[in-house]
Amino acid sequence: MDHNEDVIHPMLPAKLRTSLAEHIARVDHPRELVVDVMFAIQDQFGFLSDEAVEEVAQLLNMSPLEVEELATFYTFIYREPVGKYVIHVCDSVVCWMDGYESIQDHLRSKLGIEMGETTSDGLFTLLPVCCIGYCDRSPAILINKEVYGPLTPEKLDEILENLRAQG
Amino acid sequence: MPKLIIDDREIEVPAGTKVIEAAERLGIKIPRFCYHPGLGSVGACRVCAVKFLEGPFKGVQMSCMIDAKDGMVVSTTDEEAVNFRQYVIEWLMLNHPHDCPVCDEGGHCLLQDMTVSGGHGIRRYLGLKRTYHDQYLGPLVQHEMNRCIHCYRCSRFYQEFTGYHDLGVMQIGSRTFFGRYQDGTLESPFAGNLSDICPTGVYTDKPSRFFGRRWDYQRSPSICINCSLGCHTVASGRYREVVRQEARYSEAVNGYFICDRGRYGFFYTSNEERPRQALVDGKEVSYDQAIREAREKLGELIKSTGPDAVACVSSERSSLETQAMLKKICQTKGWQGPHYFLDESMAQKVKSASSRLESGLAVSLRELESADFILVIGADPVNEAPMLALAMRQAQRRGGKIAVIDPRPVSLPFEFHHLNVTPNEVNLCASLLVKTAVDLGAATDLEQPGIEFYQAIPKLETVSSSLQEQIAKVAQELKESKRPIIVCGTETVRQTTPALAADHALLLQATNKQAGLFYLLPGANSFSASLLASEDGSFLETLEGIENGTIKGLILVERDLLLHFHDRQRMELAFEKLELLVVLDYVNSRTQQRAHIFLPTSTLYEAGGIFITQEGRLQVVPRAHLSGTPIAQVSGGNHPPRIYESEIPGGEPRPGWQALAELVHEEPQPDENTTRSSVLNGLSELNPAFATIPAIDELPEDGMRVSSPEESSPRFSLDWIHELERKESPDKSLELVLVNWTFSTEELSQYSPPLMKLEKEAAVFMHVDDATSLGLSDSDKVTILLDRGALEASVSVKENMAPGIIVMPRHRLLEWQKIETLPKFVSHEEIKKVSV
Amino acid sequence: MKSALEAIGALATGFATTFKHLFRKPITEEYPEYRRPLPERSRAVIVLTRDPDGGERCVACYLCSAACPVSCISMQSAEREDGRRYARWFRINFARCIYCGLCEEACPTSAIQLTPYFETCERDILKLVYEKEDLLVEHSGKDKEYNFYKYAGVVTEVGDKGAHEREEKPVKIKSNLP
Repeated sequence: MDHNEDVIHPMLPAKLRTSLAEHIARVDHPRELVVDVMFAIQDQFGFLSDEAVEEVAQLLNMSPLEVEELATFYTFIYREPVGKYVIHVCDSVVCWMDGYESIQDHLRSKLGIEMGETTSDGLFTLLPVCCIGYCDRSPAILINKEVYGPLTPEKLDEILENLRAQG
Repeated sequence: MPKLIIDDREIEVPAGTKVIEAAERLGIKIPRFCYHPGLGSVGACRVCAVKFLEGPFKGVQMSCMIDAKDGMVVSTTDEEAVNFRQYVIEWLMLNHPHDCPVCDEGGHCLLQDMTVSGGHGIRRYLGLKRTYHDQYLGPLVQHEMNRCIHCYRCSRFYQEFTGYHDLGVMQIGSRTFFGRYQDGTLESPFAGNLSDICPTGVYTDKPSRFFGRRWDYQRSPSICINCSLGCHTVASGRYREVVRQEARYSEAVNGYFICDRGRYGFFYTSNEERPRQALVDGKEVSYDQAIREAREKLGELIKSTGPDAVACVSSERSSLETQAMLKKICQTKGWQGPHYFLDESMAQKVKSASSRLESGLAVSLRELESADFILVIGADPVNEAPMLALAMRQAQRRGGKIAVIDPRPVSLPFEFHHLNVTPNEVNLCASLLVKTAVDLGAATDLEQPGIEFYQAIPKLETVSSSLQEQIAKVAQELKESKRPIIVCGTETVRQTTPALAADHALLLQATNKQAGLFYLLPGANSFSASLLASEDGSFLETLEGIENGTIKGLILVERDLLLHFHDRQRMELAFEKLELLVVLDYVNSRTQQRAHIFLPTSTLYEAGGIFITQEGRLQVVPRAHLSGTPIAQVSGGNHPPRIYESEIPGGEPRPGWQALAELVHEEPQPDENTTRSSVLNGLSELNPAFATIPAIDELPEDGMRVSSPEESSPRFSLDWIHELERKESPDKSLELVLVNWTFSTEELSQYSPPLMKLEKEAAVFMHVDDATSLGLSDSDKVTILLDRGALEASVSVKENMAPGIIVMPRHRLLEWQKIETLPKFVSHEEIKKVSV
Repeated sequence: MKSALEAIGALATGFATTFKHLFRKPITEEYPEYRRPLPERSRAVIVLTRDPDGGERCVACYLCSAACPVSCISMQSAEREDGRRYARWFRINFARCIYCGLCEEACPTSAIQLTPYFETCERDILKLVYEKEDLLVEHSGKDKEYNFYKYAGVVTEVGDKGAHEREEKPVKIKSNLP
């Protein structure tokens, strides 16, 4: 992807850096914390920029490539900038049986974006996800790690309204 | 030992053997992509499927994942297995581009072979193909990710096998991508192996890009002479030049891989500047005329001043035949020399290494991989002999512990203990370590001198408490080990170190450990040079002889004095005094350009030759192609000439031994093969160690070990302790330690354009304390005032090195040859920061 | 008697056939006054063609020289600045060529083609050694359509990654999309 030049350079805030360093110092094998450290930085900045990957590598005494291997492997680690609310639409088999496609289409037309894109106001990002284990609530979606389902277009509108209202 | 039946044939294999290997022993090659004997099995590609008919498993299984077991009946040709493999290949080909015609792998591509032999001739899938952007991976490896079949061989080799972490696997599923975090040169000095192990054309060899196809190459077994290890290679020749070199499997030396210096260090042989014509006073003449003139001038010289007015110097890169011929000539003619080493202390170190390498102690490079503790004394493996680092990495992967006692900022692609003591303390530190680890009470059959040697080692308390702690920690690991190996360098260590290393190995052996000993020597043929070197006279005496006029003629055989001697100015002045300077060489060295008479010699690839590695392994290299200017150079890149001459253009160079024989004999000489045989037949007269060598064609594939029968260095000498007492360094000065780097310092690779692109900036290393007291910080530029003038370099400040020294690479672009005597000490006042 | 009559009858039939041909118009074509057009597939002098866009088709893959049973083809491959692989030089020794057409069959890019033109006789055998400039023509020969680089997937001026026939867009390593 093209690196977004507008992103604030995520030099870690001193507080986060020290807390991470302390956490790392407590374990025998620092690299086992790589996913936690990536999440901590992602929580701070929304996504994991190139600088962040290099920062993680430095903190854990790994090569940037080793961090990138994991960062690009996991669905919930974002290497591209995302909106305030990341909507993951489950597209696995049970949600498919219960018609996730109509939910996805509704979201696309409502937000005016395609899968993988972010709304121009920077609020919503649409992404697919494979089974999240909420087959009992299918069709289900995740918004910032919170599960919503079973969904209908009406319920979805309500959820989006609420989120918009929160800004 | 399980017994199984594969394709109706029974075979017994050692327990733990995979079915795919068992089949290979029967000569059945089961298809494979991810499996590689050097890397092991992962079961990722699914193409080695066979059908198990009887035994603990039934049905189609991956033969690389299943250990051979008693009672197994396996069919590789069962219809179900054949279909399975065929579908796997078709599936792997779904995304594969149709670019074989422009792919360098074509012709030796495993995927191509499997596709054709699997019967997948016509593409059925007509959907879209996945594509990737490629990366720039440096001057050696070309990247083309579209061709990838996701076998993971590259990332496993790069990260697990070599221990480097800048190439790996990103993304997931069908989008899996193999590459770097960002474009850039691969950090591993073993990266060239990627083009060998990739089963398709994702990684191809950049220097030989688009040169030809394997079926057109004259492929010949060869060895690498860019360091003393002697790794096995395959040289591919075409149109009168070597265009590519690959690793050749060797059970004893290098295994499946070689380093990049070895792989790409061969370009000196086809270098455009290489002199191929005999020269007299800079004018091109025929070989015979140059020889005649040289003979006449030598004759006049000897007539007027006597035979000892002529001296001969050869080098560690000459073949055994050439070295021996020169020795024989000096003996019969009464000329001085030959000297193979310029530095007397180095000559002594190599001598003591070669004489102390007893058969009970010597280990091969492959044997080193199974050590459970490796103690490196005064060596920097990645920089001196990269393949040693790779072997150590394998030992470390198997749980072996590594400790390095060396003043340099040693960096290795794995975890190790670094005892960065000063050059003076190396011997003491190693001895304290061994003493702490060895319990004399447990020692059986240790001779009296051994006990005295042990007792003479000072107490641990003589060193700083932090070093004591480190030593105690490492000693504990050494104590627990069963197969420790001592690796001893010769480059920066004191003269007594090689013998000391052997004594320590004996001490370890006496405590029921299977101890081994492994030396590093300065050049490809140092071992044989040391077997041939004469005891009397050193090169310095010869140099003095030239300066005071007693020596008037100098014959240099494949030796660049202006590169290797530490005082270039003195050497140049000496050259001016000479009445006759005859140079025989195959590179356009500075020294070659000074020759009165120059005779071109042929390279290893054109002449073949015998080289003896640092472990005394004598290896015979056959000729790869005939001598001659490469066709590309004859025609300036365009089509070959349309009119042929009766002789090969540039075919003048002769093997060193032949040129030498012709130089000294009036009568016509027999051909080079006859001359070679007569030299080899007379070897045992030069040193009885050679008496055990069989005829050349009877030598085993991996060569054979020659051991020196000399007893010149006695066991358990206490010389090193006396050396400790001498305080060598003047106060407030830094010892200059000249070192080699992986690239840009070794002589032959300096003529290799791809390796020049890998050169790092010439920098000197300094300990952080020294830098602070000099007011220097990292990457500052300094001038260092040496005896013959100043030298400018940037400073690299390190913590992981000894204080009190300056580590200086013998870099191609750093004119370090300004030193009057070695060891050299530089005072603080002589180091000045250059303000930018 | 009967057999004698049969023999005479047979002879007469035979001679009658011969006699009839004496009055037929001859079908021999006077060469070189008349040059008969040969079918396109006939095999004679070899050329190196260009793709429809005018680029050299030959990528110097060495397959023709490998297929050649008399080893009359030699070449040297090299890389152009734009990434195209091409023949730095290409030589066919027609004194040795047996016009079997295996090179054409082996050629993966439709570059090397045999043409019906066969009048290449020379007294000086060296004149039968053709270099690339003698072989390269300005047309596409029998295959008017094919441009190898539209399908190969390697980056040249014909197209970047993902821009060739039947290709997906290149994989984005850092994409958030799974």
